[in-house]
Amino acid sequence: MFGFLKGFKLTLGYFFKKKVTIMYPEERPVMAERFRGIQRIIPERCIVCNMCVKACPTEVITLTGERDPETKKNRLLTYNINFERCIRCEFCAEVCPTSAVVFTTKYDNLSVYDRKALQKDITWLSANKVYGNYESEDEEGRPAELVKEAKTVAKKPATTKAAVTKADEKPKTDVKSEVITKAKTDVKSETDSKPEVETAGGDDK
Amino acid sequence: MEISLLLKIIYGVASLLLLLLGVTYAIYFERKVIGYMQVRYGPNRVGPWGLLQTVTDVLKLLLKEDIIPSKVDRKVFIIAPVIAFAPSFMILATIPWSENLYGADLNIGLLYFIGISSITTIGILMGGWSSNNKYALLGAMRGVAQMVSYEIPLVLSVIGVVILSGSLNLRDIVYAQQDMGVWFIIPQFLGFIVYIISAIAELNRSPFDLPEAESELVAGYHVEYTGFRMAFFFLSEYVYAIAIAALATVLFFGGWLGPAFLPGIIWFLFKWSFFIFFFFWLRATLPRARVDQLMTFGWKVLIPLALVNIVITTLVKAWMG
Repeated sequence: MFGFLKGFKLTLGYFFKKKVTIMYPEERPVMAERFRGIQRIIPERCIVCNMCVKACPTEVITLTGERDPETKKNRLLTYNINFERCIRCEFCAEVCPTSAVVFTTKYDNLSVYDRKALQKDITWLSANKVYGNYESEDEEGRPAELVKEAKTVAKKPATTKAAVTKADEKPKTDVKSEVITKAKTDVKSETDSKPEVETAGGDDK
Repeated sequence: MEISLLLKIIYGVASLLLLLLGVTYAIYFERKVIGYMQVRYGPNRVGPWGLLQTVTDVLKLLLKEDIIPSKVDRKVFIIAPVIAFAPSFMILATIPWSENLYGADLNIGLLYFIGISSITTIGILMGGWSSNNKYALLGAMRGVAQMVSYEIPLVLSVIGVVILSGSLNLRDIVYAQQDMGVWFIIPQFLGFIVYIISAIAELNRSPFDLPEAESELVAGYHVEYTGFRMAFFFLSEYVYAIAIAALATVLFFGGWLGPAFLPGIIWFLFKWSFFIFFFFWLRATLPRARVDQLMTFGWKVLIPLALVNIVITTLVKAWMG
């Protein structure tokens, strides 16, 4: 009969609990590395094989290239993505043999008032130097640095920190490392699988 | 004579303005409390801490197109919100906010309060009927059935207080608590429980918000209302919440009584905000009751309990002398 009092206790408990809201424009969550944000084009790597154009299911990518007469290698001239229709399927990054198209974790620079502004060209796409699930020397803000920045920018460091630690945990247990450990444990005995997980997770970075 | 009339008018206008301010911030407070109980912040963008959120909401409501559908009963449709709102403001006259701050020192204050407040039911029925809409009519019928059945336990539950204090005057009831040295919530605990439950049902607040159950009836009796007229219905609802909380403070929590280091009005507002908070807390906690559960609960549980409370109070009063 007095079971409803439990409910009152519960809601009052939530009343004093820390809130989960992230105050968005002031405070931003740190995305996991595998988050599919905006593409980044690394033109030096591109061999103009046209694979991304073929793989794209919504046909938003157009590119042109030319053959360099000195080195006899293909060079990228223009690369456009129409973000009106891009569905972020990551096929372009998957098929790219040289990882010239990669996905970053940037997500907040596509809100514009004009549709034409969503037609992005090579300069815009190659300037997206934000961390993501790819290898590059000049990329900005790998999580560790981003944490620092978030701490200084965010109004409430405590909330961001929670978001940061959450985002940090994800890449450690990502699919790759799990697959590796599984393969290893299959070959070996299943006795010491725990240290394997740790080493594999460490190698991944 | 002239000066006292002028003072009364000033009191009335001032309390109307304060009331509008109070309702605005009661809505803000409700959204904040419910937000906090759902582990989020609630309004926080308009003004500092979102303090101007309801002000902008009200402005938006007033700037909206005022639609009167062609099939409605025009005269009744127009007058219904006024009939719903006017009594809710009238009852505030008898509330003694502090020892010397009150509108009218009526010797039948409690009777006046409860009698006038039931006029709103007619406004709701008029609004629902004249809208010529099945949802509005269903909502109005539910509302009237609920308000009529819960008026009875509400009145019966306060009779215990009247027996103990020997007066219907709200100020005398507070003085009686002062003389007794204990707030009536202790000798009248059963009456308080019945009062608070039937008050919530009378206010059509969650968990008894059947007349405007969004998931079943679109919006209840005010589906066809827009803009200013709908604002009136909402206003009357919140003014009743304020008035019922104030009455609960006077009857059971000793009105302005409290340790002397703070003025009476502060104690009153403190207790009163506790009740308002309780209403919102309830809304964040309990799901809506079913119609049959509501009626059964009102007639088979609350009314007998209220009667038992009256009998016990009378016996104790007669025995104690």
